[in-house]
Amino acid sequence: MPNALTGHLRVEANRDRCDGHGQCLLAAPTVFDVDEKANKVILLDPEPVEGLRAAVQRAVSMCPMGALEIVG
Amino acid sequence: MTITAPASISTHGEIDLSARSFWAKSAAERDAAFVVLRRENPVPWSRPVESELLPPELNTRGFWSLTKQEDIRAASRNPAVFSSADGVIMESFAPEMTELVQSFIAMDAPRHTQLRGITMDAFKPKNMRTLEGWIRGHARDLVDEVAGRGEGDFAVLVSKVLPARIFSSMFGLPPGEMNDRTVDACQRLLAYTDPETCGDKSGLEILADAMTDIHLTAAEMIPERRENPREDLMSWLANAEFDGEKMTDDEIGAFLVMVGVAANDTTRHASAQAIHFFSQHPDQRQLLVDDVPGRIDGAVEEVLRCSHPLNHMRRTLTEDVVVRGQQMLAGENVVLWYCSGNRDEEVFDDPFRFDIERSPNPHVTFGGGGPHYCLGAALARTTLKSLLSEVYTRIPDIHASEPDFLIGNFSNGIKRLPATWTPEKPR
Repeated sequence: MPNALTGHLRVEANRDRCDGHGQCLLAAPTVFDVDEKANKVILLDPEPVEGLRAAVQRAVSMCPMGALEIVG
Repeated sequence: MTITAPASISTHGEIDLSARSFWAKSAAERDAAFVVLRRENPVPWSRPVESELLPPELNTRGFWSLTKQEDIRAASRNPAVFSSADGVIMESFAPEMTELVQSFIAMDAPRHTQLRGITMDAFKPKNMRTLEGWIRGHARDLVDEVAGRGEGDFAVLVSKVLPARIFSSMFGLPPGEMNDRTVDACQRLLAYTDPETCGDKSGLEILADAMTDIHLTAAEMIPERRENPREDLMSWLANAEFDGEKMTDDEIGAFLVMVGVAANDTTRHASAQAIHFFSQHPDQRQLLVDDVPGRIDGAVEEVLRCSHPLNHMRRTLTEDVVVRGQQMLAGENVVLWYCSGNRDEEVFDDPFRFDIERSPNPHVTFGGGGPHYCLGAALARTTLKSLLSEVYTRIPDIHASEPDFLIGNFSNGIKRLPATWTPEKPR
């Protein structure tokens, strides 16, 4: 459920699971990036606006390692 | 190796994944068979696949199948047990052929990591953001060339051409005979199961001829690229060194075969399948046409889910494992059926509905994760997005009613797709 008070989502990234495939940054480039050195996801915006829900959901589904989650 | 089941029986009831005739059935019939397998026998054993690539006396190994998405993902993420080193296509190749054709896709770490790493920078999603404009330009140019015609074979005029141009440019193949021969070989190599493509030749001849053509190109280009390296992937390959050793010509040739086929024979089929799906589902086409920028990303994912240009990848067990109560033994082959994982009822609501607004859409078209996840996934997504955006903005009523499908257990292809559309007025 969207956070009714703020109109923002909450996103979590599990860096232990992440393998750096980077598909998330195609789907939602303002929310995700990849740390080139560590080859791990960086959460640029852990609380993106509700309008980005579809894009963030695509990023979650596109992650080959199941490392991303919308938690609120 | 233990013989797990008598060699003559089918996979399950009437379903026989090893039979050539199964792969000549319609997509709907094959999908229906996998529904039964997922429900009644999700980890079945099959007899050795009917194949022309090995003589019968050597083609003796049956295989397990994983049909549930959860199992496909778990196997993909466990490369230490589910090894790629014995080849990743369900039809076994002679070992020397595997080496000359499959390259790093048929290796485990650490060599896999080294070879995949050579070109990884070029395919990184971050790079795709930079390349997106260039890819869109290629898509625009190609649609310019065909939009005024009003009719034509979309698979031949467009689907084959766009990935080929991008591939040739990235690898630095100069326009001309060598490029055309190489691209043609990349486009026909996986058609070794298609009777029409084979004609008078055996599947093995088709495979070997295409492989030889591509190795020839590598051998021609390597000395020049060592002499005068450029900013292209052939130069990267020719000059890559590990522990002071460059790759051999055979290794570079195999790399070019594998990546060339992956580049030319996957996105190609996905784009043709896209036109086919939207022709079958005019409501979904209208939905896309009404808001191409807003719906194209979802459309690409749904096209990828439903088209799965590769039906499967194979692994070989390094130790005994049990999946869903089924004991499998070290040394046995296991086939991961992406076509089935993409329609798993436990993952997708109404999995047989083509729905560009489907969310979530966690398909396994590029693999189930792990080190062999498709290197070209971001390039494929960007290419499809660019091409379908151009098509459904400029010739939105394009319709194709009679696709001519490739017959095969590996590549889920369309050979010909006669289409009609309202010609675009000259701009």
